[in-house]
Amino acid sequence: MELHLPVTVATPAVECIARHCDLSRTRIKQLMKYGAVWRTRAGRTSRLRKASSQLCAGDELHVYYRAEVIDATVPKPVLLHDEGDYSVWHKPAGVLCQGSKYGDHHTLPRMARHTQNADRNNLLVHRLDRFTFGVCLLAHSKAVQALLSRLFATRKVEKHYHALCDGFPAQGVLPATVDQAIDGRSAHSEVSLLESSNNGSKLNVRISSGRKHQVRIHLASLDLPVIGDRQYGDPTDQRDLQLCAYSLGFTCPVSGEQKSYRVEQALLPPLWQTFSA
Amino acid sequence: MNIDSKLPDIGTTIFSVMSALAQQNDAINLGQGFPDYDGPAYLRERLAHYVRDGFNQYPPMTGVEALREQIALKVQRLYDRPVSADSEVTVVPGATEALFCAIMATVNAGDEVIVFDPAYDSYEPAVRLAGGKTIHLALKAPEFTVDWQQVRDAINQRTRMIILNSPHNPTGSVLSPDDLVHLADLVRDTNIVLLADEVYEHLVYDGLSHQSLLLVDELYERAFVVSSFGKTFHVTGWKTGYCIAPPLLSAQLRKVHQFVTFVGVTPIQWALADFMRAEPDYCLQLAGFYQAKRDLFCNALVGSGFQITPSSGTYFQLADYSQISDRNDRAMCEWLTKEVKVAAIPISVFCAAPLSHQYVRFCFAKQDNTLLKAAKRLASL
Repeated sequence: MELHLPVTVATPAVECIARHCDLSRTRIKQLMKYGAVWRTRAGRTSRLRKASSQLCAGDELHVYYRAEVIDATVPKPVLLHDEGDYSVWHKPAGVLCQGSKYGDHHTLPRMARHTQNADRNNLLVHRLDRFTFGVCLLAHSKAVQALLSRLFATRKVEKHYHALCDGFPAQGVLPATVDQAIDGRSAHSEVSLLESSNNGSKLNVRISSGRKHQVRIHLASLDLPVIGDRQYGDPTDQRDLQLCAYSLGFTCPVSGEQKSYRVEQALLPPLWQTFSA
Repeated sequence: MNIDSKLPDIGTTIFSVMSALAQQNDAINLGQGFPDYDGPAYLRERLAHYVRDGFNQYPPMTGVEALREQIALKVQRLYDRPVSADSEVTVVPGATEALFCAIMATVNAGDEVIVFDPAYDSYEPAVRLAGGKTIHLALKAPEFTVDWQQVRDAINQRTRMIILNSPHNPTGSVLSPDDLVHLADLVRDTNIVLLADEVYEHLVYDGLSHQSLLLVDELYERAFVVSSFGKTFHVTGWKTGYCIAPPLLSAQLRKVHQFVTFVGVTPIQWALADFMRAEPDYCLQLAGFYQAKRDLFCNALVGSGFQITPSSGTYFQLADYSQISDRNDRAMCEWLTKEVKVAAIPISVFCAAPLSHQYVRFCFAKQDNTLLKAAKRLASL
């Protein structure tokens, strides 16, 4: 359901929505809190979260309602390190980095609010795909966000992913360097074998660029698709994606110190517990 | 005795000149902006009550608390902005006093203040008395919109203030949401203060809405927003208005206000507080009330020589008379008053540069009969 309501008289937002649909006031307040209600005011459109929000004449109210988005459940992110200016999180599979017009309650920045001081600004620095899990940074001021984002944009972050694949790499394939461009832009990955067992192989992928689906595309190009990758591997594979953003290393732009963060083994899915670290 | 006038070129304000001329000639006065009907009976009754009951000494310098609280409630309700009745609301004897105090409090010698022509005639003298310089930018006729590129070009190190007036007297134009976006872009990371003359805030027509600077955080944080009870409750003679500004700006405004007038009138403030508590929706009915008057007046002039684009806001209607006469607008207004017996206001007196169009301003805050009678006289032209 979508509602687009021009406001002609000052009204409380909850009342305005309640008049135009069958949802209960409790449900409407939930939609607002979860980021599915938007307001256009003075030429700017932004989320309207507070149940007490007042609408002014001239505002336009937008409601984007999908029950399956609002009611979905995902595991909670875990705080790995708090550095003050920024923090380091374990993002589980299913948690989003960015929300959509239907809501943002399952995004890392929003979920992080519930684990710590709610007044803190949680700003995204880089993105992980929805079903990738692992290390993800949040900045806590716009200035620090800009500094950290710059590190990623200028390829000054040492990024390692770990991926599980079925079977073993063919003789002589690894270590490999892949330079296949993605969406017309250069991309660079270095792939090496960490371990092999009867369960398959664990690969380390060091990437300097950060294109969309880069690790998945480059591993598929080596005929080593990530387990659960229905898009670039086996379309009938019903398992969850086994791709982990394993570590990040950089020189902290605030302190100048060398920093390195990696996932905690205990937070990884069961399949990973059978591989020794 | 010799006095070096600080405002040597400033004569009597055009409103007084035209009102006197209208009276001498027994003309219908559509010049000066005041209603020829009375404010609500309950409001007048409350004033009589408070005068009788001895509420006749100085109120607090910032205004009667009960009234400041009602103003804060209104601002919260209409503009979704929580303001502190103590530190952000100041009641003043007339919006013009607040404009003057805001300018005196923030404009220093050598500072530049951007105004948009035609500009209400109190802005420039105040800026000059403060030692500042007014930079006049023309609104783009016939819609009288702001040329934001021109504003961008005019802003420099010395720019201290931009004065905005929406709904706009005398043209009846209103700021749009896009205008506020442009304005925010221009003043971000500058030291520019905004002075928003929003005394006609409730008089916006045709489904448009008032784009108050109160709606946008990054504009309000540097703004004085001034409004008036006279326009809202049809009591212009009560000379009572208010200024909403963030605590730091309010504190500066109050430093000047306390030595200009110190306070507004006590029983009027109590009466207004009672009325606002009793009829919080009164201001919301004004747009419909005045739009009907605008339409009555404009429709009655259809077929006349006046070219009219209905006003989007205020209780003023501009009329282009270039098909009727090639007099300048001041001469046209004098002629209209003396010969046609309808007084109007010339708008060139609000402009630094000559206008490309020939306009006079009519006030339609009049009883329907008055408007029809005036329109009948004008329609024969």
